[in-house]
Amino acid sequence: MLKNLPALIGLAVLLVLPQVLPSELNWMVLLLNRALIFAIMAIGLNLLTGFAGQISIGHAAFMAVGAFTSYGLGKFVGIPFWGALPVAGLVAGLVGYGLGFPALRLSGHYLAIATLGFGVAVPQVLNIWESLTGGWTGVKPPAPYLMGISFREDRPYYYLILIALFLMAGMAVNVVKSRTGRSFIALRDSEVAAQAMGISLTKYKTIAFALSAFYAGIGGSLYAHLINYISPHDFGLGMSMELFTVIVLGGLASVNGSIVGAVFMTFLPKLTERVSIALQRSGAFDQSPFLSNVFKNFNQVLTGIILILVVLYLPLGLVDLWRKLRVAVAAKGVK
Amino acid sequence: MILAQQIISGLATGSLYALAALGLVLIFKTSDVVNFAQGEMAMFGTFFAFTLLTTAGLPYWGAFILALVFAALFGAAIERVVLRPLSKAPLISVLIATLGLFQIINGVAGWIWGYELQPFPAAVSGAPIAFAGIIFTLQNLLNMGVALLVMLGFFLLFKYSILGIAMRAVAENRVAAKLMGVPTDRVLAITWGLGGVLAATAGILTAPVTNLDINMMASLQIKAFTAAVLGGFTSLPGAVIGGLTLGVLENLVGQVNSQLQTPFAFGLIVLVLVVRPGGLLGTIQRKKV
Repeated sequence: MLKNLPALIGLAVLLVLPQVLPSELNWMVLLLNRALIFAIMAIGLNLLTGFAGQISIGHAAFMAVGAFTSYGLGKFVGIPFWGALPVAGLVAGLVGYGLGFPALRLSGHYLAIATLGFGVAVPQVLNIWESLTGGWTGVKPPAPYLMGISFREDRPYYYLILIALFLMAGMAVNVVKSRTGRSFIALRDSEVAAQAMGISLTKYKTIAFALSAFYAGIGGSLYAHLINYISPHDFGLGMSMELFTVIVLGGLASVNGSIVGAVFMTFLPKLTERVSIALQRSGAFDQSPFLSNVFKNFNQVLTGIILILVVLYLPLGLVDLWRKLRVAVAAKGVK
Repeated sequence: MILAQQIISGLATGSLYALAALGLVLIFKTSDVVNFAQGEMAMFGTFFAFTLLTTAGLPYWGAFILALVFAALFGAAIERVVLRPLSKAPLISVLIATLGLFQIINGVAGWIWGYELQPFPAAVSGAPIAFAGIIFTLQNLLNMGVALLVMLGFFLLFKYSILGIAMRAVAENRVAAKLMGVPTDRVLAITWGLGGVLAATAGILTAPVTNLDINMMASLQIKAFTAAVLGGFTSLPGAVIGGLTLGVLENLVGQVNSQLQTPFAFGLIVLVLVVRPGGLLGTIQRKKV
């Protein structure tokens, strides 16, 4: 019970938070929406990278596939958001399955390079496909409607995302406990040993890619209809790196960690922005152009520092802090 | 004739890819790290040269040499501060660390030099030379000349110098090298320094064409990876051949649609890795159980 305590508290907080927020903090709901969407995608990426050990640093490409599939289905086929959402996930999953095949021959560095190339190439290809994606100008996916409820408001949309997150996280937890999840872990720890035990490399690596891309596709669709404006260049390396940082910071091979990491990484820029605005008002930027430059991309540097510090000092991520704390408390009790 | 012209410009671009790929391969071969921050190290060195040229008013060759010295120290410092503590960490940690370095170097360059595109002065200016109906711009000739010189230098260094032999020993088997009295830590730091020099050289030669900004190396970095994969990632001559081949192929593809160049590079990576994972000249590393 104690082990799951933070997860339960977290769930309770997520359930009531938008209701108890005072109205001057309304802007937080949009950020929470974004954070939870990133949590969904991070769980997917974590299945691939954390559990199956297959690195992907171009994951925003799958998100783009989901986002534009969902938009295109609504615009050209007339399928509303509710039908398009699962299809967006499936199409992205199919693309992931396809990428899984060349990835079979690759591991480690080579896979990182190939997925990096994929992450750069997909937005460029989408950019050329202007009739669907609008190219540089982008397109405007509408907010979903259901039985008279408009999801244009942040709060209804929040609960929609929360339900999606709950389902997707539950699915991930179950996958991890199943034969498939155990095969992922076995492949991650030693491909040779896993194969010797009769685990099919082809089957489980492609499944891992497809599953993880499915999560990204769902996230992409939710993101598109939340932000209501997307262009292929939104899904470049910056977003891929953010997703990657989320799982490393939150904790590799941890579903809870993905959520914690996503919330942290979404609110961090807002915090920096606040500090930056305060400094600007105080006139500090007029005196020092350097300081103004620093705050233009403070988060990027901070992200880099976080990545390196986590790798050096907290390899299991933020979720490991709770375990460390419990161990420390238990050790004190023994004395 | 048009084809020949395209091939020549392709070779000129390709020699830059080759230089950048050479740095990647050198570091990978010796320290087993694929350096995702290589392009940013190049960009940082180029900005350093730019400051020396414009603010300090140094002559071109002076700024070039000082920038290379800086790049060497910078590379060695990165090895010492970030990579050495991770020498026993799993592969994914090292990858994450170089991605973190990428973000930091890119961001800090923005802090220091701002975000505007700056024109970078060309090393040479003058009328293009026509030879047998093919036009060579001076910049292209310089790129090819410098690339050739650097590659020759590296070949000799690797083959004949004590340092080169030590680097090959570390690449072959780090523990055995250490037992034989090779100061492996120092060799690794020097390797990263040399990788930095190669990166900065590629950056300074690229800058007159792309102009200078903190994201100037983004596309070159992908190309360098492609070149290295094409050549086999473990072979220095492979990196050179991979770079030149990519330059020529890409220039021909660019004639069809210039936006397709990066997707083409990605396609090539996947194709090479699937059809011939060892690349053109590399050896496949079989894992022993």
